[in-house]
Amino acid sequence: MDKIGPSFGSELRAAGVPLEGFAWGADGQLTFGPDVPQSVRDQVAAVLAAHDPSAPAPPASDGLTVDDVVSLLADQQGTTVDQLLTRAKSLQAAKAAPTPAQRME
Amino acid sequence: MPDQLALPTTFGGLAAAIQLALLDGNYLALVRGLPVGVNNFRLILSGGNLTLQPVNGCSVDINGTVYAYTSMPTLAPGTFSASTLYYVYLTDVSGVATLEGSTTGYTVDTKGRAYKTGDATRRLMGLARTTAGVAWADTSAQRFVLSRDNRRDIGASNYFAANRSTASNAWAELSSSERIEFLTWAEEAITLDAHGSAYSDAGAGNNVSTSIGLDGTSPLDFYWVWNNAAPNLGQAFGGMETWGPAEGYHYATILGKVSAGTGTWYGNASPGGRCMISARIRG
Repeated sequence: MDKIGPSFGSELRAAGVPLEGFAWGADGQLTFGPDVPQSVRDQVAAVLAAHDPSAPAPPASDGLTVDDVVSLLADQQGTTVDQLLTRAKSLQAAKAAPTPAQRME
Repeated sequence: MPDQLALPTTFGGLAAAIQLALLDGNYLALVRGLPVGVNNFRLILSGGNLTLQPVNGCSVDINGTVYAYTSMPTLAPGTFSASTLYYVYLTDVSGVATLEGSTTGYTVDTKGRAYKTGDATRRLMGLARTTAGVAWADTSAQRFVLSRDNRRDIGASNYFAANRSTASNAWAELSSSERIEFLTWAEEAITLDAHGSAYSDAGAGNNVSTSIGLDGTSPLDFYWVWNNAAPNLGQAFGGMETWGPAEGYHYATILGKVSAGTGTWYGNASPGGRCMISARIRG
């Protein structure tokens, strides 16, 4: 059985861990670059300690539903495409790292 | 009865040796026209010790004297330091071939013979590096024995035994335990290759990139990148580059990065479904 499952990346994001310069393996191996500070390594270890490798992967999509897109367009009539994209990416990021506060928005 | 009879290479005023050698105590061989600088041996690893392997003969010129050996010397790793590069020299001690490991480098004379710097009685046979556990190693993942003369192509390879992932937007080493480590000579090129497949859980339009790091997480000039057409859609990568790094120890490793989400590179215990990295070196 894998020691790190497909939800680990989203769990790191949810915990606010800086993601640069390290990797992980399904067998539990962690590889840190030389520039990754010990504080980040400790954060990763903490997330791993609470990790359930059997947890399902996050939605295999941008996280945006058709309803989301329609809502965005309706809300943003009269704005530029760039502004719409900015809003879409913001929503996408929020969905990739759901927190209780974000869910209430 | 000694198994070697040495004559100076300048014997008879010639720049070549005419040598009579009693080989294995059984027959007399006439060796004519040995060129100055001859070395018929290759440094190899056998049974945990370094030793010499005869190649098309058994003669070696040490400091102007040609010796013929049929009893091969050995060099155990026991007294050496961990993770250290050694120059392996051959010297003759009362008719017995003897190997010596030293951190002292070498000098090449005008006849092309490489000697221990400051001591021409010790001819360079090769390079060897100890492992972290103070052993000699010559495996696919650790090519730590190179021969100075009689070189041949040597392959090095390693693979991902399990899936490797990163969410890094900057190049990250995907697995430090699955590098290839090797030695190389200054005058030799190496060819590095990586191939496999990977996917990202991010949406369409996001990038997944793969490259090779040599001695760190800076990518070589070549790399592979693709735009996701859809999440979790596997894409193959592969390519190679010929490179001329400095003499000595190096390692190569697969690097990855993503523009969003998490990228995963395939690994497996069996061939056919895993990313791998390989190198061709000479020694």
